[in-house]
Amino acid sequence: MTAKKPDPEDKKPEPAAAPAPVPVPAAAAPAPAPAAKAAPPKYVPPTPVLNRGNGRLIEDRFTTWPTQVFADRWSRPGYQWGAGMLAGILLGFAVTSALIGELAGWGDKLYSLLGAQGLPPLAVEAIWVAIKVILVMHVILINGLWSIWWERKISAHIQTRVGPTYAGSPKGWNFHGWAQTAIDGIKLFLKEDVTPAAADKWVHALAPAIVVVPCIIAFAPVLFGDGLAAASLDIGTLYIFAFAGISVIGIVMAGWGSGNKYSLLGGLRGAAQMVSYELPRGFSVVPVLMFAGSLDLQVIANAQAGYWQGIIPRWFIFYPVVGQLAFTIFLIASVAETNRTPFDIPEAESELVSGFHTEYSGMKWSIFFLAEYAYVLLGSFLLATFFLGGGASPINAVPFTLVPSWLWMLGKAMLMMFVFLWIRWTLPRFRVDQLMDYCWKFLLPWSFVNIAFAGLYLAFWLK
Amino acid sequence: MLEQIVFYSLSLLTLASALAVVLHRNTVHSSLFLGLSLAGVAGLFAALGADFIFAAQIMVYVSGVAVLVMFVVMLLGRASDLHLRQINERWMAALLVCGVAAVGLFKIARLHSATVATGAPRPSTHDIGRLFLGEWLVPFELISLVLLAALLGAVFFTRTENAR
Amino acid sequence: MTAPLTLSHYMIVAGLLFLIGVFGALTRRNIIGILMSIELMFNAANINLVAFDRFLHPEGVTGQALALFVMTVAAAEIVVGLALLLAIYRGTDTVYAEDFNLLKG
Repeated sequence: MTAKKPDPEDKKPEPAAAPAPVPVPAAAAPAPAPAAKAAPPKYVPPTPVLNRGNGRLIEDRFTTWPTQVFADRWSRPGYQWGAGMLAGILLGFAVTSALIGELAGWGDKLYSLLGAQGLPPLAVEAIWVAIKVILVMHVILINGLWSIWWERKISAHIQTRVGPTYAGSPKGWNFHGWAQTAIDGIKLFLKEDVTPAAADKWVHALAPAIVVVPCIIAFAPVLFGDGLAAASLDIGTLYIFAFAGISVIGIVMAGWGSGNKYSLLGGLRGAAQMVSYELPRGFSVVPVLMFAGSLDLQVIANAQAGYWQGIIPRWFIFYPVVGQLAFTIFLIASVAETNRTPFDIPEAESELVSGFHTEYSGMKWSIFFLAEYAYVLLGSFLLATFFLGGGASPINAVPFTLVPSWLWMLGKAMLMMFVFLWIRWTLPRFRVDQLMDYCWKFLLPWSFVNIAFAGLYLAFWLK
Repeated sequence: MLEQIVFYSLSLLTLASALAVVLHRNTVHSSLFLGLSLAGVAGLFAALGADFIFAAQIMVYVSGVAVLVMFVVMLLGRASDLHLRQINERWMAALLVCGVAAVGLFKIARLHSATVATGAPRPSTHDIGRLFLGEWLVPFELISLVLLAALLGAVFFTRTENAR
Repeated sequence: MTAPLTLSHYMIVAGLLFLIGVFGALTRRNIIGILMSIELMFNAANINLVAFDRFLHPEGVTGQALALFVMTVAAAEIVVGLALLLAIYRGTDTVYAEDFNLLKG
């Protein structure tokens, strides 16, 4: 009987239909049928109520059913402004890259301008380096704002929910919760900084610094576009891998300095995992270095310029077997290096409480958190430089080649970061022995085979 | 001027950390200072213009050897060990030996007090690569055998009785 | 302080580092402490090698290549040393050098 009538009919009290059971469905059907056509009642928001007797009115926003708020969102001017805010953060990222780009273009002029001020050459150098350092740090900090918000949105949509939507809203400026990360940052600042009594104070306090500072240092030769690196080093690649590996010390210190068995276990396992996965990460890039002939990131990016038959860009990812294998191994090893799921046993929230950062609260914890996303950004930029051409346009047509190289680089890096974030919320976690087996018995041998393939290529095909 | 500032500050960092390594009571702190000292040595390599060696030192020593030492110290250490005296009773004899050797080393170093660096440092990666795969190919292969032996030795010595 | 840096500056730094390492190797009780001091000695030798390469043979990289070999051998040595230490620790439950006196007459 209820199968014949759709949902609105449920509002009719069941007793009206109960006296007319199955034997007389036809008699009961016409009577409720006219009422079936009634439209759903107009939504009336409930009367705002006082808030627990302290005299303040709960804002209308918190008594309105969220679905309705969501349905009306574009009609609120604050929401439209909020959309602009989010676009602003994206633009901030792009503008910073542009500033790096344009400043590099005006670099010579700026440098001679500084020199013409009559300062000693040491001061000119110092000011120039300070400008570059501020720009690079700017990229890393804005990346914190952007990627954490993006991760929460991606994870939410993968899990068919919406993610943060309320943050950043005085009276409705909350476009998809753009300010969530900033507000979380303020909250973390204000949290109490707890150091366990059994902890070694200096080691406990210095560990977050040792995790994040090498990442910032490693950003020096990173290519943000064509000719846009803060330091053009001849050993760029090796320098980045060397400094990215120092963070292992920070994790071991965090684990031991917390004075807690589980943190120590998490720290040592994390360190073992990171040290193991540095090997496939380094070896998978060796074919790229063989093809490009140098460790310098600019030379590697330039070696991928041009197109085969005018259509397919000469990116290393498109080299028949070597490129794809190297890309895959480097991607997997980078995900493992940054301790992200499926390799996040060290910080497994459901297993070792939080692993090595269990005993950290407030700003120290947020430094670990930001460091993870900074390493993800580093990995994304490296993937874009080594395998996706770094600044080169994929299509050989005029409107695309006019787009500046830093915008292409940013797009490729964001695509790679999306892959990082996507993998995290799709795959389940590895067990720690599966993880180590995977590295030593699968990725590492295949990266060696890859080097052999690249050698064969260079000997017989490419000249 | 910049060169002098870099050299003196890096030397101070390296030597002070090395002193902390050999004098500290807490072995864990010693190993951390070892990492710092090795990073200082890497800085000295960079000041000498040896860029490949600088990156290799950081990769091998700071994020390899120092981490390994830290692992072992943390696995084998007991809380009661952290406040014991770590210098044995023959330290005066050791100090004498070091003093005599210091005098000898200073005399030798002073022989070169007029040798200055000529020319700008060149990037060394290509040259080292050519050396390893050309003139020094045999030592290069032999060193890989040494590393293999070390790997096997480490695996063998750390096996437990029931895994043998 | 504005005198140009000479080879003797680097040799003195390397020499001091080496002597600190010797002092540590002779006086530390903990075996890991002795191994760390040996690492300091290896690094001092490396500084010397690279400094000789820069100041006396600037056209070649022989010193740097030799320093790479020394680095490799030092890493291999400390790996084996720590593995031996772990094996001994399992047997005797101590890491202090004066406790390894089983061969004492």
